[in-house]
Amino acid sequence: MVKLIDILDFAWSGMRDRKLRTALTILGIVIGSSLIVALISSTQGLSTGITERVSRMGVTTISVFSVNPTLRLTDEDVMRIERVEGVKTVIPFYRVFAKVSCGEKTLDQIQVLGIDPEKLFELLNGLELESGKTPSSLDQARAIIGYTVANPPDLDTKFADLNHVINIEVNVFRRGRILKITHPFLVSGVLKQYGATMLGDIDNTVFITPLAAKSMVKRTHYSGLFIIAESLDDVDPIVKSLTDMYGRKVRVISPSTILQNVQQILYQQTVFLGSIAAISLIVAGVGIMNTAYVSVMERTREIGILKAIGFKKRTIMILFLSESVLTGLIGGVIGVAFGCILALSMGNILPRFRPPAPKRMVGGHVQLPVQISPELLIFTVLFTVAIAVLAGVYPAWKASKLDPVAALKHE
Amino acid sequence: MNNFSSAEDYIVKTLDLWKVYGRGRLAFSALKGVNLKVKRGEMVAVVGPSGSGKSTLLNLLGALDHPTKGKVFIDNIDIFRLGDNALTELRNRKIGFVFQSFNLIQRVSALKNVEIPLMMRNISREKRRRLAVAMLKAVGLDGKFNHKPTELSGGEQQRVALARALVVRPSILLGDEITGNLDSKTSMEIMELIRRFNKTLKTTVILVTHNMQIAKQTDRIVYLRDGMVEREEILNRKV
Ligand SMILES: Nc1ncnc2c1ncn2[C@@H]1O[C@H](COP(=O)(O)OP(=O)(O)OP(=O)(O)O)[C@@H](O)[C@H]1O
Ligand SMILES: [Mg+2]
Repeated sequence: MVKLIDILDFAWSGMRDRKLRTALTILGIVIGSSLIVALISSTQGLSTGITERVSRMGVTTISVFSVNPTLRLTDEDVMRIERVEGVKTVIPFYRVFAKVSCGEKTLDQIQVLGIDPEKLFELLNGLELESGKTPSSLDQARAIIGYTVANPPDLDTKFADLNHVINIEVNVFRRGRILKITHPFLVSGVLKQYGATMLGDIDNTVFITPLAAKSMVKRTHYSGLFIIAESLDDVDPIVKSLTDMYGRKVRVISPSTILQNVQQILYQQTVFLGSIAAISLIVAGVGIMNTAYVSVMERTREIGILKAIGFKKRTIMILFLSESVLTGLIGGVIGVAFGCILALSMGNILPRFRPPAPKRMVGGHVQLPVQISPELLIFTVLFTVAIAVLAGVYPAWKASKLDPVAALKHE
Repeated sequence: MNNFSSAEDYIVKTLDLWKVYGRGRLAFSALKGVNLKVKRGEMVAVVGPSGSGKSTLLNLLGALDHPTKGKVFIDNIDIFRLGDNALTELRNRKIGFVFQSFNLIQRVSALKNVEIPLMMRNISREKRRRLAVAMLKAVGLDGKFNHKPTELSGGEQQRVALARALVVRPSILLGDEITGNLDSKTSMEIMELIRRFNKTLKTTVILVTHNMQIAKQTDRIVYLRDGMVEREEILNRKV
């Protein structure tokens, strides 16, 4: 039996003999396999990014937002919901977007959340203060600021620090007019970096107490409520009771429903993009087949020589097949490497093309991580090689079947 | 000098060998019952007019093609009763081919060309290289191991082809018009080499040729006409 090294050597010399054709065939494979890696990695990254945001809130957290102006969520609703079986805590919050200033420096469109400071830490797993302390829930003059608010990336210096006074300016509608209302707050705490959640980008948020928010926006109804269930099993019954109580006037979001939706959408997207990439790889496979076939034609005489020398059919088949496999393997490995680069740059570039996050929506504008799994890379290479084998089998078989006498007469 | 143990020690023997190309009205009999016996170590020339079936006969002796009827024995083995793989292996172990048009693999060096038949042997790459180098030296190609066929003259290419055929020490060397593309001086050099290997390696040689100059240098000339052996002429009785 011919040694593997000799087979590879022989295949390689054949490929080198037709450099341009080999390079073009490899290019086709590189495009196909890098697309697979890039597209699947970025959707997987999207999935992980969203899952991470959702599960930061804890899987037992349910959010309720009023989606109908006639329904105003008030303390009465808080008490009603607190009585529902399985509910551990109800955390109401106000949310406005404000201009925040500190001395000469101003930040526009900062999210201000009026939420019980103690409960905030219950709600967001792993949220920690970098300095300072949490104001009491009745305090109307103290605020906690997020990491990015304290250290905006576009400022050379800090925007605000512990014990600085910041001014929060909100627009309030009064009898058809817009009033600008400004309240000063003392920064009593600065948060560590945290990231995006269902509550938006925590790092770019100022937290005040609900009381302070209420007196500032002169509103008795909340922007929304968070409900923490006793256990995961309580989540679904609570969601059901809420729907019974409010019908379609509220939007109830639980981590499990989000995750289900997100995962379904992303699964479909993965399948869709994955198939596009797979098809391009199959087209590249046709390219391999074409190359292999032409090469068998061109080398008919060589095949005749090998047969006269005493190469078995099987050996000739392996020799030609290994050229296709080598093409696929080289293309696959380069493609996977290129695909990783592509995926990473997509992760960096794509968010810049996204429209700015809508102001009054849950969520935030954050760069999504790209997730490249080793399994995907291995799978892609194997898939590429499998396609190369399929593409190469027929031409190689043809080669092995040639009649030696006729092949030797071939010009 | 050559010693034959018995009159039956034929390395090649054909029995009523027929080759018919095509079918029906287009059928053409290139060989019509050829009986040929070649002794071990003998050097035979097959001559005849164009189309007399010389190449057809040689291809059958080398198991490149299958006969329509009849048998070929090599070392008393009825070769066409062997399976495909066994036949291929026999070709690799016992038969060396040389052609008119050299038939080297163009994209690899002279040395690699000579190494190719050894690829199927279970020997190290070093040993393979050594054997190929020794063989190339034996055909007088010292110093041109790494030349590609296109960088060699016709005579040199034919030497490489001869080295490739003989590197596995086949018992039979089959040559089809091997000097057809060479001038007479180079032809004589190649014949000189072949005669030497016939003597030293005891390789049986069967050469197909038009050229009576070449044929006269063998032990026996077989005249083929219309697919049949017309007559034989013994030049050198090796007994
Ligand atoms: N594959 C084939 N199909 C049909 N006829 C063939 C085939 N190969 C050879 N022949 C015919 O068989 C006859 C013998 O051919 P062969 O090649 O053996 O002749 P040759 O003696 O070697 O001639 P030359 O000296 O010209 O090489 C020729 O008439 C040729 O036309
Ligand atoms: Mg001929």
